[in-house]
Amino acid sequence: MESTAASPLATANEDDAHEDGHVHVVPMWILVSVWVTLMILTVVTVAASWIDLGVFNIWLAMLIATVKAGVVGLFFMHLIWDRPFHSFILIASLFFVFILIGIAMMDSFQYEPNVELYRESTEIVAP
Amino acid sequence: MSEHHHHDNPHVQHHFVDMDQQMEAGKLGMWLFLATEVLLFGGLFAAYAIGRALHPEAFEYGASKLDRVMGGINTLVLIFSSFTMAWAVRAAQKTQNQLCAILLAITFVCGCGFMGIKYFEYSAKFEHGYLWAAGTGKTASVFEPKTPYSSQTLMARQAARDANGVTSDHHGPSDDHGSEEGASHDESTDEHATDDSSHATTEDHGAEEASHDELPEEEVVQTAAGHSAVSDIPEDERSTLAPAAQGPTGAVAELTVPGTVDTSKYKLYVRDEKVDSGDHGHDAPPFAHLFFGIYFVMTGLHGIHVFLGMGVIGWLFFRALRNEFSSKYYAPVDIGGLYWHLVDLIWIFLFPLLYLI
Repeated sequence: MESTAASPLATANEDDAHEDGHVHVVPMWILVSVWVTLMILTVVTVAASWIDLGVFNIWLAMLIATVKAGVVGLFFMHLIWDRPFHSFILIASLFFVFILIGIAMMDSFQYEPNVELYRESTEIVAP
Repeated sequence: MSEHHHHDNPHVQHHFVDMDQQMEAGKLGMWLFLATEVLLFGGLFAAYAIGRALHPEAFEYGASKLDRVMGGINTLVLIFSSFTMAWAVRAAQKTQNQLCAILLAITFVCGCGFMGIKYFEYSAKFEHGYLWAAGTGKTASVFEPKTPYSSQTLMARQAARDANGVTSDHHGPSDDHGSEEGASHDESTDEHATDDSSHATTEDHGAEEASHDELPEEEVVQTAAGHSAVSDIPEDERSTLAPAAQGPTGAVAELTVPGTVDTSKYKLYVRDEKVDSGDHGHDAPPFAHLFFGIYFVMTGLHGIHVFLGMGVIGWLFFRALRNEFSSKYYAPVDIGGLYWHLVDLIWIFLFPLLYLI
């Protein structure tokens, strides 16, 4: 099954990323382990949501989600065996999303006092 | 070089040197596409982050209205489908087309299951009117800010018209909604301030009547009696009225207590805590509609991706049935799998953000 790059000549001419042959079959035990890990983490994240940790609820949920996403990316999406450039593309897109969220949030906080003032002066709550 | 690949494999397109190059080009293309998908959802995550940062109570309230058990089951379904998808890639790589087809079929069924559960969740939200601010035209949102031009107001006016026949026919004693109120409103809009006591009674009555099982539409119709007054004002005069007087929701009548409310003020947001103390999400904080708008857009866009992924998986399934995949040619399964995993990956973030926190 991992025979296509078996010829030394072919291997010599391969791209660097192909050192171990371009057919990388993920072992079954890794697939099952990843699946079990994801299920356990799902149960953990739901269970944690019932416990009131205050502001840490959101960070815990995001931490667990990031671990789950990392596991899916690395093993199910083969990033750990793939060319690093594919990981780079993914990380670059995430980087730009964080820039978007970060700057947009800073900006909305900048204007929020004015928005609140306007809202308070226009909202009427019945006596 | 690797010319032998070229002749060995009929799946290599003429513009690629060999299968390796074709495979790598395909994967690179898919990863670039996935990056654009991340950016697409990134914009929505940004909207979520801003909304949550500015109105945390609205988002906590919204999350409490979602069914985290249903969401959790859906997460497990999607994770299992990712597992079978990854396994299907492995099967294709090992030239096990039959196993690959079975695994793809299971993945497809999981996609159906996910969408089915999503359908039931959506139905429940529609039933309760837990919707974005504008509602659907058929179903009003219980979270809609009560503005003069809100769809709730418009729907209530329409209901009043339907009940009374023609718009101009409110003066007759045959008015279903109690001609006394209609008559008292006929004189002028200034009367709003003086005859509020009768309205307050009506509204309190309405709030009492609200029970758990009632749909929002019924509630809107209940307030319709108060609305008939607006239609009685000649069309050309309406534009000169204070906005709140143009389209009184149930709450506005109570608001116009002399001395407590400056009616000359432009009433953008009208919230009546007395009326809102009942059921149907009326205990909601002011920006609950924002949460549900984001909820429906994010899960809706994700659902579209699940549908598209199911289409890809169905196509791969038939190709696997025709024994097309082998250790030398499995790129379609691999690349289609990447897409399916990304859909799973997005849900992994959507689930806790929308349901759990």
